[in-house]
Amino acid sequence: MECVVQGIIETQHVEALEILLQGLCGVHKQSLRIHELCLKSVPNLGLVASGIRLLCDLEQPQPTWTVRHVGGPMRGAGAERISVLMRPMVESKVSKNALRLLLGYKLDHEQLRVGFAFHFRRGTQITVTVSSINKILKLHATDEAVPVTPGIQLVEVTAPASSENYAEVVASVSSFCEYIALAWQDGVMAVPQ
Amino acid sequence: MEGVVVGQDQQQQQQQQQQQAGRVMVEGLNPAVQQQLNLESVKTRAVSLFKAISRILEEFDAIARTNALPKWQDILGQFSMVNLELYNIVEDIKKVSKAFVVHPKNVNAENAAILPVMLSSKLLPEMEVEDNVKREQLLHSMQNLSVASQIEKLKVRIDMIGAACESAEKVIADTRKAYFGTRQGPTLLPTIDKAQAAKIQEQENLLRTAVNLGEGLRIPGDQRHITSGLPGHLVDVLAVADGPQSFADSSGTYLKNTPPFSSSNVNSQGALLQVSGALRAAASPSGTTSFDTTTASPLQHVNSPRSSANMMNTPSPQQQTHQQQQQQQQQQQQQQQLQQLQQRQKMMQLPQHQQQLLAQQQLRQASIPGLGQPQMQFSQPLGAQQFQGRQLASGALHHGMGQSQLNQGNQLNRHLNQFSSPMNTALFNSAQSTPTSQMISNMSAMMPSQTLLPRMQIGMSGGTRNLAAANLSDQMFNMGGNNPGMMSIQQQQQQQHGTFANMSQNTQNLQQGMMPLQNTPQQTHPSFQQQRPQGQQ
Repeated sequence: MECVVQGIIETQHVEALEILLQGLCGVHKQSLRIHELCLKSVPNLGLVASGIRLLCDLEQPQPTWTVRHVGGPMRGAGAERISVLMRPMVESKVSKNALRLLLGYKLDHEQLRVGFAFHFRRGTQITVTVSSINKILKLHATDEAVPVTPGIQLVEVTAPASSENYAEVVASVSSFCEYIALAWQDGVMAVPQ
Repeated sequence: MEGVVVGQDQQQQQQQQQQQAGRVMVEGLNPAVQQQLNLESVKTRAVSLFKAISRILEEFDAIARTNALPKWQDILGQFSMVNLELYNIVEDIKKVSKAFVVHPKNVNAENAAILPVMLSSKLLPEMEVEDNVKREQLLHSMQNLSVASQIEKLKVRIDMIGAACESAEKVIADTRKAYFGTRQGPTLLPTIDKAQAAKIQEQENLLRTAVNLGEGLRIPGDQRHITSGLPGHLVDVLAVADGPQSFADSSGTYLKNTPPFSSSNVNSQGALLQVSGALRAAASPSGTTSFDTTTASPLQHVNSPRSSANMMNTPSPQQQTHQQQQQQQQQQQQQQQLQQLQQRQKMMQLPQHQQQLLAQQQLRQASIPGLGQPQMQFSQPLGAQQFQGRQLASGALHHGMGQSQLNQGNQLNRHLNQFSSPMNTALFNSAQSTPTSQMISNMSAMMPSQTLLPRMQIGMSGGTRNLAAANLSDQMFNMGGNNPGMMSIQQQQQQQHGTFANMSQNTQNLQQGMMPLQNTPQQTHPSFQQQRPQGQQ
């Protein structure tokens, strides 16, 4: 399972956010360039439609592939009490042949994420990702990707969780998000008029 | 007596303040309280009450020993006296007890023992130890001084810490101002006007749907060709050199090879995509055989095209005979595969419910050439519910209604699924497939293939007749009818949606009789024979 909080930030402030995050997290950023292929199962395969994502990390000298399945958000009384999103998530490293082997799946859409990420520990392992989502106009042409929303980038705070410890993960993530929000607000408001 | 205990507490407080040690104070109530409550008299009354109760208990004891009949009137009278006396005492105490007493309302045998523990204000032992330790640390340096000076010193400490916090905050704010002031030239507007906020919100939604759902990122099928060179990480992954077998492109590239076909064919076969493949494959015995006879297809991927080809080849497997299927299969298979791929791609891009609607509409137009017999088509957009509907309907066929009712049931089920909850669906299934007394008399007089109209009417409600249902019968036999009939069914469904509840009384008693009916020999419609094994699943 993972705990996810998604937000947006205007592109002009991304640099400031990077500095803020560096101060808050205490680690250096890692650049991110991920080609994400979202596959959906073909209609006749199984009773329920399913989707998985293949992520290719293009930042490394050798592209590394990951396969990821994301489930629906946790619902119910427990979910209503928490202010973050919990959802099941399974991830695994795979070889580049994964694409060929996933016979029952068809490409639904693909996107390219370009940005940076901070991985650090604050009560639990937290990852903050600031990235611009780019759509790929021609099939697999990652070099010609344009942002979906040029003025806005996506900020994601994620933390892995399990069903036993999700309460503390939720607490850490939400407190960290508040922390960022407050720090950001102070920074913004403190700029002299 | 609670009053006595309370008095003791008050005295203890007074003792602490005076810092008395060792001197035993006489216990007595606060003088003010004493005016309100005469403690001595309360004590006397309580004692007399106690004596009265014990006397009554002794009497009971004696009666029990001698096995005499108790005089209930007397005993009840004594009980009421005792009750009254207790009530009076409690009332008197309540007047003054609000200040310092908790008065348990329900004291009986089981909680009398635990009450003192529950009411005590003493901390648990562990907590008490912690408390003492912390107090010790705090007051270590000040134990020799008086209490007042200790309080003073603590206050001073608190103030100092507060001042330190404030100055720290100020320093942080100043440095932040300075830092951001030097970095950012243009100042940021702290307020955004509504139009901008709306724009930002819109952009945000766009971004979120793009990331989470892929909206706006999908390339339409006809553009899914690999035109430019592949990026490095995909070059050896996608076998582009093999031509149309690229996994991502299978549907797209196939378009090039597809010969032109009529739209109705495409629609009809595409409509069947809505069927849950597993259910269909399990349900149709003919389906499995057709799978075996599939010739080698140019497609590489086993799962998708073949199973869907099966689906297309056997659109209503329960009705068609084996022979018919196999003949038609090989003729149509290739064509249908190609057509279907394109259709499927279109379908996938529609939202779910629109797909269902589209499928149902298209099904109406479906005409499979070469099928001479009246063929019923039905697709099951939602497998589980439909399956249930099918079972019930097949049981009802015992009543000599033939297959058409099954078809009718399923088609109406489909509409139901579109509009109503599963509960209503089940209700309707039972309603329209179990014959009421009206239905039976009508049914027996009808030929199976021609009785769609009245049956459907009766099954649904008391008397609404719909003239357009004549089209329905045509369509259900797949004679190439047109759409309006189906639309009327939909409307009809909507109207009668609310009346389903009325059917429940009629149908529930009949429903129990349904299950055994499935085993009785059916009419000799050949396609129906196929249905039975599936119905009994």
